[in-house]
Amino acid sequence: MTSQQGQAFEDLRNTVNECSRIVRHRWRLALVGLAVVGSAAFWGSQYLPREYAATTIFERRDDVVLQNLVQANSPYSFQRLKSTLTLDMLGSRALARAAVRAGLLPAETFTSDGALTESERAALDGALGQRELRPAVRLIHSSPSLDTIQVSCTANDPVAAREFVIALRDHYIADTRERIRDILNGTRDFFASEVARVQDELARTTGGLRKGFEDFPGLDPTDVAAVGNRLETLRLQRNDMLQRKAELEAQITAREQFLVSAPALYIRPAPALMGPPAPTPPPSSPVVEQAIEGVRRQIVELVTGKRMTMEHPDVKRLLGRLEALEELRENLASSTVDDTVGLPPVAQNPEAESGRREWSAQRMRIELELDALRRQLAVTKEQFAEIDGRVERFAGLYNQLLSEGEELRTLRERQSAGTNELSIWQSHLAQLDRVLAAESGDRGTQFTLIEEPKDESRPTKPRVASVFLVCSGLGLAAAALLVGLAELFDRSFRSVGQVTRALGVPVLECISTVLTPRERRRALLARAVWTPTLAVLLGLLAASAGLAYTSLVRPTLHARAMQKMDRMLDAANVAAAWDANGEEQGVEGGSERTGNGASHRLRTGAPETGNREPGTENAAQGPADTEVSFREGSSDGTAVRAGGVS
Amino acid sequence: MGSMTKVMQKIQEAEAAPAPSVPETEAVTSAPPPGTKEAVSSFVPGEAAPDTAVAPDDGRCGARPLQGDAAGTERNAGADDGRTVTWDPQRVDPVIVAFHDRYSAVCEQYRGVRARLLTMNPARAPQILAITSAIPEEGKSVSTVNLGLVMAEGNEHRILIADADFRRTSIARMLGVSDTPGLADVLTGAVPLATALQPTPLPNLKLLPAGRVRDNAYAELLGGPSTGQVLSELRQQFDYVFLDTPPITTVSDVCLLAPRCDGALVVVQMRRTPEPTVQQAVRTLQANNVKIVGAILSRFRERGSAYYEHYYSYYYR
Repeated sequence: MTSQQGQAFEDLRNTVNECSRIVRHRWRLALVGLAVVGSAAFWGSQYLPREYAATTIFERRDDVVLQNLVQANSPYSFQRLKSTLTLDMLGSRALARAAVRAGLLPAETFTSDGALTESERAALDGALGQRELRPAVRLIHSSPSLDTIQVSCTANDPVAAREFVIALRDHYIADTRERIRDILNGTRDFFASEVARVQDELARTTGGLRKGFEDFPGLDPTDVAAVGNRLETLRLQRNDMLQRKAELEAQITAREQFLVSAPALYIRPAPALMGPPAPTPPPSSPVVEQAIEGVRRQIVELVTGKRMTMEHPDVKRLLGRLEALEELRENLASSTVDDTVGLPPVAQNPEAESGRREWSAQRMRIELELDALRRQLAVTKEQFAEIDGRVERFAGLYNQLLSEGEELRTLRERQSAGTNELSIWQSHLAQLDRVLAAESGDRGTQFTLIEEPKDESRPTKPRVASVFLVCSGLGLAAAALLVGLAELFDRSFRSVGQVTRALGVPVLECISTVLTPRERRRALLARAVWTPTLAVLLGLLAASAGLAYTSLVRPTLHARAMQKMDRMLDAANVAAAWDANGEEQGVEGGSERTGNGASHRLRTGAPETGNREPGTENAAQGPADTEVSFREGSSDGTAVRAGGVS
Repeated sequence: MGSMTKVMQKIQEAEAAPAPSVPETEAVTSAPPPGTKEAVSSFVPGEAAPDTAVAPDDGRCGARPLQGDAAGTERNAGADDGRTVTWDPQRVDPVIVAFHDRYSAVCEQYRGVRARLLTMNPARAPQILAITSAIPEEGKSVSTVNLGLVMAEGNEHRILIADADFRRTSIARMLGVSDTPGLADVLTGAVPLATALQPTPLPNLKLLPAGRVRDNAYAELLGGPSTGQVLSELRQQFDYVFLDTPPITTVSDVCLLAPRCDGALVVVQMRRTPEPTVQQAVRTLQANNVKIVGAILSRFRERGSAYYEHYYSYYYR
């Protein structure tokens, strides 16, 4: 530490010591200044103009998907709602509506549409200025899908501030709901048109893609493998149909041959006439024989040529067919022997007659079977022709598919994209429909009230801390001023150095005060005087500070206290008025007392004429109203007149 | 320690004695002629007082009043007779701390003045110091008596306390002794100096009250030729003479007396006496060729002094 710093530190220390010494010596004076000025400041702070604030906070939550969709497709986007928040809330029209709703102005004040006229604006400004209404809006939190809005208002009347804030908020919410509803309606129309457009495009794409495949529902034209499998299936069906047709034809042929050759077997000639029966040639049918030969060749070819075993399904199927054909050949052989159709009628022979009847029944059965088989064959032929045609057409489509695969794939992709787009639009449309359905009951738009304006009677200004700071500062300043003045005008010696400097003589010693009984009595007396004085002053300071604090923090309690104080003052004034009246009447020789209400008249000085006696009106009408009212409770008109002119 | 025990026993016996036969007020107001036995006994409370008068103790006995010697009950006829007298503690003003409480902090502060005075006078030349102040009630008389008492401690110096404030005599009243005969009587030649000197509880300390001034001729008395003669005589008989003088700015007596002294001590009451007044007083003294030895600040109430008293009492507890 350098010498200069040391000197500065020493000076600072001396200054502090001197200040503390002064405070120690004059603490009573400082306390008096502090208490008196502080009390006055605290008392005066009760009459400072108050400012009350009302605040409400609410949330507007926008659907993210809707917001994104609407933002790009509507002039009234949600972003616009944010940007025009201040104007929507604090615009002249909004303020005017809020003032009307809050009861500050009659509704007839505003008759024009659009911007306010000069007279309307003047009326609005006057109403707001009378109550010092200062609304403000703030976006506390803003995100793409959520806005937290704070609306506040300050005024000299807490009720007006609260009502005004509520009116501003409700109007904004209602207006915003209406705007959002308009946005949603416009957007829904747009979405609906988009859905229709995409549906048309999708239908066209689907038509182009399924061209030629109309008869094959459920088949994807772009799936080559599925189409190939379907073609093979059709071919197998055609082969089966062909085989069925051959079988039916074989059965029909067999029955026709049976009808031709079977009557001889049923109608026998008479033994005399005919002699011994000739040996029956073995029955034969060239068609059956050919079919049997054909099946045998196929079996031989499959077994020998294609190396199939006898257990192969195709081989087994051919063996089954061969067995059926051989059975058919045996049946044909047996039926030929019994057939009598075409034979000459036999003489009256009972055996021949029974054979003829048996043949007739057999022939009828066979003919019925033939008729059924022929119908089955006709149906089979039709089906075969149809399936043959389909096989032909499907083969052609398959070949076309193989040649035009890329184009079909493109169509398919376009169809898929269109389907997706359609589903999206339809989903959005469904959401919009839901929101609109909810909006119809004012439940759709997400307005959440977070904080209702409180019914607050505590003022926001002046603040407690400020009042106490200022009042304490004033008190301290007064104390410092008093102490400073006292020190300034105190020319006595207060330190050894001062004596040395002023007199130029050495100070031999400083002798302390001898605490003699007299000194003690003197100190006791001083304490007896100062202690209650300071206690009263400090009590006054505390009471004033308490009143100031209560007026800011507990206004209702403060009002009650002030009313009680007023009543006490009234009572004191009444007593004083009674005493004064008594003295006055004593001087005048009267002994009648005044009635109640004199104290109020004394304090306010306002004349009251309602209770006057009829004969005292003239006396009451004069410059000395206070004195007249002083006597107003008296029932004696003479006394009133005397009081009025006194 | 044996003597101390004896002293304590005698004091208790004296307190147990019946009520005093001599009224206090009568003893003060109607003092008998000087040199008589009755005059000495009038300073003692009660008839038993001569028996209780003992020599001053030499130990740290705390706040016990200063006691005189039994032999000092006879009236002293000179400065070197070694006689003492007992002062009634009830009559001595409580502000005389050098009598009531010799080991108090205030008394120690007066010892500080004594040390400064002795330091400033290494040759031990006899000195007559006028103790004055700018305005009344600053503590001149209290300082004079206390300073005289502490200067007399140790029996090394012959000390005289003289009341030269004829207008408001206070020393005799403070000590509860007779005001006459005194300095005024000596100056007028009515009483010789040796007769006017009163013994005190200390053998080397004498008291010269103010005496009685006729026709209010204060200035003539102090400015007369006898003043110089009396002061010369005092200078021969005493090492230190402390003259309690009137305030400077009030009357001009001190301007007559102080130039004939060896110096002046100015008592300044803190936080009371205006600075210009004190400066004017100092200038007055300097204009009259008075050597100002120093200043004594009375009623000095600072935190430091309180600390000093606390530690002092702690040390001598």
